[in-house]
Parts: sequence; C-alpha cells; structure tokens
Amino acid sequence: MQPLVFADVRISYPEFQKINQQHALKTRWLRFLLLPALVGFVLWNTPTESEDATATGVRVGATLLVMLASMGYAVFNFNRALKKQYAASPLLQATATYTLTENGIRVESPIWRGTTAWAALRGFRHLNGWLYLVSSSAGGYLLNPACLVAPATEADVLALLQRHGLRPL
Amino acid sequence: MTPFVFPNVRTSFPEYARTSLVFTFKSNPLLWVILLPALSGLFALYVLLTGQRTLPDLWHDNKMSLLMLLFVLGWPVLLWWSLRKQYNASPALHTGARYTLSDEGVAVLHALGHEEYTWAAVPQAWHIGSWLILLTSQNVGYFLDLRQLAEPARAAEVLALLRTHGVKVK
Repeated sequence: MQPLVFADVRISYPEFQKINQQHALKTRWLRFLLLPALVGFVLWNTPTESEDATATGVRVGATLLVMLASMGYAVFNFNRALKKQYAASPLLQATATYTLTENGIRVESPIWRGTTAWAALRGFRHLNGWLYLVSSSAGGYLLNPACLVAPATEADVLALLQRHGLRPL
Repeated sequence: MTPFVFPNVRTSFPEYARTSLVFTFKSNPLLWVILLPALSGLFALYVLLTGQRTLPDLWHDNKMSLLMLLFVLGWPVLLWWSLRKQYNASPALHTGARYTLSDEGVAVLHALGHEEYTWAAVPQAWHIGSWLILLTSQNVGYFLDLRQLAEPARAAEVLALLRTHGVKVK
C-alpha cells in the first residue's frame, strides 16, 4: 500500500477552538450543565420570607437568570482554557506532515518527529471537517483532509484505519 | 555533552495518580477554593454516621449539604476512573519507556513507538518529589523517574540542562 500523506498540516486557533467546542458538546455536554444546575438548586432551596405568587415569580425569574449567567460563565471559562492550552503548546502550533502506513503513523515537524503503532490508538472522530485520531484521553493527532496528498482520498484513510481496528468514537 | 539516559522508566498506577494529583493542585491552586464547599459534605457525613441526623432530616433542612455529601462520595470515584483511563491509554506509562535527554532535546522510546522533541517543544517541566514531568502541552507530558537516571549523572544536572535550554522548571 502507498503511504497516505497529510502534508504541512497546521491548525489555527479558530479551527482548534471549533474542533474542541464540537468535541466538548458531543462528549462533555453534562459539564456545561453542572454549574447552572448547582446554582439553580442552591437558589431554589434558599429559604425566603414571602411565599406569595409575585415573590415566587421573581424567584423563578432570578433563578433562571443566574442559571443562564452561570452557563455563560462555564462557556467563557472553557474558551479561556482552550486559548491558554493552544498558547502553551508549541506542538499544536507547529506545521507537521503525517504519513500513514500499514505500520502506524509517522510525524515530521521542525520541533518533533516520531512513529506510533496503530495499537497505541483508540479510534477516530470527525470534528468540524478534521479527522482526530485519539491516542489517549489527553492527546492525539489532528489531520486536515484538505492536506491529504492526491491521489489518496479520505475513503482510503478510513479504510486503513478500519483495517487496523480503529473505530469511530 | 553526554546524554542523560533513563533506561527503563515504568510508572505504577499509584505513583502516577499521586504525582498527577499533586501536579493538578499545584498548577491550578484555585481548585482548593472550589473544594472548600465540600467541607459541608464531610460535615453531613459526620452527622449521619454519628446518628445526630437522619437522611430525611438533612433532605428537609439542608439539601445543599446532602448534595455536597454526594460530591464528597462521588468525586474520588470519578477521579480514580479518569486517572485510570489516562494511565491505561498511555503505553509509555505502564509498559515502560527509555528517555534520553541531550542538548538536541528529548527522545522517547516505548513498546508502541518513539518520539523525538527539540527543547522548543517542551515549554515547561514540573519537579515533584522524585518525578520530573516534561510537558509538551498544558496537560500532556512524560513522567520521568529521577531515581532511574543512569549513573554517574545526577538529577541536578538534568534540571540544569532543562534550564539551559529555556524549559521553565517549576
């Protein structure tokens, strides 16, 4: 089999942000609801003096407003952490060429290079047009199908991944 | 310069979990503040275990402390599960790896591959007990056991090498 080459792949911050947002919405959506749910629970269970209809209406409105604000904070905090993560990682910002063969994936970049066997990868995801090969819970390889060198196609890549036991996650 | 070699670093899960937790709390001191409300959960556990209150009492009077109690009981389980997942997913941790540090950078060789990084790819390192964590990203790194450093090199020389190449050692 001819190696499949993704040449000069570089991910910009807006792309990195979109990919991670999509990933988080698919896998960690519960975390975004946790803080508003907690805040709502606390406010709703705080004893108040008045129990008439107007007071209850104000209480419901205020609780929903604070829950909405806390969800906004959770999203803001997530985006801030992403920015920090991108800025702190020269590997993410480096341009790299990825070569996929029957043996595994080879990476060449000015600041790092290496080879990983397929057995070290857990699966793959399609995120915002990119292909994410998951190597551990905290890392992986982000491949841009637009950088795939012809005549190879994305279907060839998926066939190779599936041949080596990688499943969509 | 003679490269510094760590011939076979294998990290046990308890060592990995302990070092990761210390790293997490040292690099995110705000976590301590977030954990403070959990004290009310511990207090709720205490009053339940000593029979001063019952579960229905707590549900009626203080739902928040009951919620915190759930957090106090559930958080360690979730944490253990998450750390275990990370540990199992990294071949360099549990099957062992050979690390070579030189003026060129870091070379890692493990059962499922090899990687070479220039120092520009390693912006930060954490020295925690006898462990050195070389970070290639904010939360991705390699765990080097300084006790496994091949003689006659010493840990202080390794730390000096990192600083020479602009790696921020914390």
